[in-house]
Amino acid sequence: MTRQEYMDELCRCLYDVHDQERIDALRYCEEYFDEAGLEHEQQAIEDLGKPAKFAAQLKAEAAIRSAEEAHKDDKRSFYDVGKIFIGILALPIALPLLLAAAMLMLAFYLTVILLIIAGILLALCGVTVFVILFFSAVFMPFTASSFVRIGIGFILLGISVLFGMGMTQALRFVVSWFTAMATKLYYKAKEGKRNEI
Amino acid sequence: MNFQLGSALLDACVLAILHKEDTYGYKLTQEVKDMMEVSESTLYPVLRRLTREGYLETYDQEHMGRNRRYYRLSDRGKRKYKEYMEEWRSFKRKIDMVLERGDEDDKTGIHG
Repeated sequence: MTRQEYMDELCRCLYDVHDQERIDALRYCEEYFDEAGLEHEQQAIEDLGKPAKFAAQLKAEAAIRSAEEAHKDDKRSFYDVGKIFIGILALPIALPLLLAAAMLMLAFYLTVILLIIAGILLALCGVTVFVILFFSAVFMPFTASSFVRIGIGFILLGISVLFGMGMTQALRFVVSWFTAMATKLYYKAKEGKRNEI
Repeated sequence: MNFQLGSALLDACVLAILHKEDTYGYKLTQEVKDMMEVSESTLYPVLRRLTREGYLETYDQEHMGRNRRYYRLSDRGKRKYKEYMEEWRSFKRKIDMVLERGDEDDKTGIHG
């Protein structure tokens, strides 16, 4: 195999790898060949290993990394928010403005969270009313109003479930948004602290 | 070499080499190869990962009309290297204790 053939095959093997990753890997190998020089070309090919293997190792590494990142995202929740907030509090009080900002943010965050929780409770109330209406219609003597009660009950159920789902989504969104904001603020604060020293 | 080389040990070796001086891919490989059998297909992903995790930084420098990509340790990488050194020392001590104890027993003829 020649250098050109090696590079061509490697390029083929890396077709499904992220662009930047592929460019970097190819560049690295080109550089490796350059350094090895013409007289050591075969040795370089041996060093680099089969193109398929090279590509496979790179992909394996990328897969592990993305799995780890996904895992990290999963854990990013209330726990992290707490940790970040403690971190902000742990900073020297030479940053009163930041502290105030953090407090404001937390207050805002808590307000929004509580509003959303209120919304979810409201949705639960809707479901409860549906249950009551439904059973009152079924177990009480059957009259025309029974149908009305069942109908209203189902309408309530539909609205409640939709509303509750929306609220749950909003909760998740707000939590992750706040975590991102707090993280940013925290690192900014840490950086500021480092610059002071 | 009989002993298995784990990925942590390889990481530590790469960090150690770069702690001494900045270097480029080819030279780094040659140095690692002096210590152990490792192919580039193993080493490149390691460099890539260490860079991604913020332990290494890269910069390009011209050499004889072409670019060389140098790797250097970041502050984080230096800390990681110290961490590895400490861990390695305690690990080595423990293993030494076990391995060398076997030797002592042999000499004094204590068996069974």
